[in-house]
Amino acid sequence: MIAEYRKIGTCTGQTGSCIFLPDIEFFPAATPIMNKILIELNGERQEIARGSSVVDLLTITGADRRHVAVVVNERVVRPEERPGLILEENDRVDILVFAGGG
Amino acid sequence: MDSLRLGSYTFTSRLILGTGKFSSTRAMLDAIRASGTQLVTVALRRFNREQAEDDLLGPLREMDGITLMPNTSGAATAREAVRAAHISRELSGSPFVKVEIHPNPHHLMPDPIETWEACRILAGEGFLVMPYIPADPVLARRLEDVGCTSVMPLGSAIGSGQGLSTAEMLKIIIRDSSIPVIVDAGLRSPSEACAAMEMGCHAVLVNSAVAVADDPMSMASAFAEAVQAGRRAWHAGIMPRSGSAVATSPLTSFLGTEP
Repeated sequence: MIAEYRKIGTCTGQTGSCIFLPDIEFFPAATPIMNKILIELNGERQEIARGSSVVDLLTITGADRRHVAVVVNERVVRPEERPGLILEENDRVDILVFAGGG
Repeated sequence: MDSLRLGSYTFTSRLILGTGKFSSTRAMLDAIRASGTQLVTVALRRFNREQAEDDLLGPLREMDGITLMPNTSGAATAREAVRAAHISRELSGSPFVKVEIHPNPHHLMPDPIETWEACRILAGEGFLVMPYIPADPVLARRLEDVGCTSVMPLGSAIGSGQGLSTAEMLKIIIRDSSIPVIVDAGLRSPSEACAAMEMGCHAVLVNSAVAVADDPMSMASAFAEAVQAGRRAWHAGIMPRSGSAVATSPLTSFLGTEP
């Protein structure tokens, strides 16, 4: 994988005099840190911003305007827990509503 | 007052309504109001922002006197049904759960083994468990023994409108049961609901017969009256059936043949 680097200072042409701020950090033998993560939402892969909470997810999906139950990795997440629960890579999330049924 | 007792809840209506298959949320709400029902079933489904009408909790909460009974439809195993029940209780706040485990979409017959296992677990966790079952007196008794609040044997297959095809087994279940027996599934017309109540059923659950009627609101009202009539008739003591005629008028002649 190629990391893109952004120059913020002047470069004198001598090694060590240019300052580069990388957009992404690349650590050998480790996963690159991205601004986005992949979760599973209602059975489908979904990309969300790293650091998103359950409340953030409800907002971006429009579920914040509905009466929903939220399950993360088989655990029901109560409304009061949702703002503080930060989603992580590969989390399995289900957002559920009551629909018509006999 | 002849009320229906389910756990710590008391209902004056013996008609339970399902909320599926209505043409709109408005039609469903109108039918619920017209039926006088106090207990309705709902199903748990994945949120889909394209299907706003799917979210029934808001509209149902705004109605007075309605208790929710979430079902576990979609579950194929006891484990899935228990999971659905936990999620539903969290969402609804209601202790009722209709355990509905029917993995085969062709006949939608309940799986008795998975149903028993789910009921055993959920009754132990304090749910008011209302299992949807075949009209099997042995299974009904087993479910009563593990703490179910009622049993809900089917009249015939869900949505089939085939009526009370299990009538004779229903009578046996009613005779042998100490918990309410609620006929659920297959009822097509109010007269069938009335017949179920005349048999001694404690309540009936109807969905398709109301939702799919030409006029669901009117049909809901008709079902309500039929359930009340059947219950009153049962209380009044229905006459026995006879194999031969039993005259209602005196058979003595009143016009003599003498001049």
